[in-house]
Amino acid sequence: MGMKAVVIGCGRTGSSVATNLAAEGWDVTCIDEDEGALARLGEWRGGFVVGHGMDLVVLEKAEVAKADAVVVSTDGDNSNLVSAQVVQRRYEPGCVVVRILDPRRAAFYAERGLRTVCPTQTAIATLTEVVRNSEPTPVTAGGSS
Amino acid sequence: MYAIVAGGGKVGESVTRSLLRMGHEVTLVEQRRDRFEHLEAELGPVALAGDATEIHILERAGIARPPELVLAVTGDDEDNIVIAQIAQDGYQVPKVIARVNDPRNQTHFDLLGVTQTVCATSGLLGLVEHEVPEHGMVRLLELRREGLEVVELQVPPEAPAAGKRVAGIALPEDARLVSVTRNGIAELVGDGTVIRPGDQVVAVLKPGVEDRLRLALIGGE
Repeated sequence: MGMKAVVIGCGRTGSSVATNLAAEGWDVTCIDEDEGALARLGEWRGGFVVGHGMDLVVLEKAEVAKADAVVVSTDGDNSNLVSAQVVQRRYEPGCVVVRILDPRRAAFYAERGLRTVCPTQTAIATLTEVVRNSEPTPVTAGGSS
Repeated sequence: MYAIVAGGGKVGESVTRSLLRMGHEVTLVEQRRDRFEHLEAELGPVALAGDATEIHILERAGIARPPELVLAVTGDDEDNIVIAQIAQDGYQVPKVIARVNDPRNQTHFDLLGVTQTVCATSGLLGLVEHEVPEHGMVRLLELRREGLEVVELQVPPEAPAAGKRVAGIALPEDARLVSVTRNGIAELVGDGTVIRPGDQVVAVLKPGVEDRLRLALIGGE
């Protein structure tokens, strides 16, 4: 039996996660409010449901109950948080992972058992680390000698 | 009492005014700029600009004191759920009440532990049902945390219960009759109370036994 994933939010991030998983043999269904998001998936053989990730009818249509993994990555932190918690409690898939842009909210919900990914926090850490570890830029003599 | 009201639309503004009039201390958080400017002009320093789902805005509003009451009454259900969760789980605010804008989201509030909710749409429907009772039974109140509901039934002339003493009516186990209103006068129900046609009976029950209670009191279709 192949593994099934549902990706809620088919923007730049969600669509790439979906195509990655599909290329690895996962049976993937995407959910997005905008039908146009389907274009981001290229030659798509997986499922696609138009609707909101907090709408139970939409979740059922995407067969979330059968999913081994659910990725939540719309552009709204709060609807992501609600969708992810609802999916986790109602359907209990093996893996629920949710993108949260606000580091404080990501940390708050991570402490309470939600698997959150915060790209903002990653950017902050990476940018800081790069500056810390960089060789001091050599001062080039201005003008000619 | 100190209260934080999240969401300064019509609901948030008028609740804030009432709380202030009662002598309470209030901070009203609103993120839309034009709306905030209106609130600040009306209410002065009570109004705070910002997104109440951001923890640092809630901190500026004094969530860490913590307040005795937080009202999450924005126009977005996902925002209200997050505000309520942060207030009750993160800061142990003793009383958190959230507004449900779309009744279809009610199950999300319940599932995610936001138990005290107000839904204008359901409330309105309840009132309509009260005026136009369907199948003779109206739901007056739902006590979600307790798992009980309070309903009212009107007893029609040929009802199986009409003319019977309460003790002689085969009620479902999870239902109790509370009061009988006859000619505008309410009386608490005792075993000897006799149910008459036209009576309005208030009952407390556990969800699920509504149909059996209706059958016992007012009969089938």
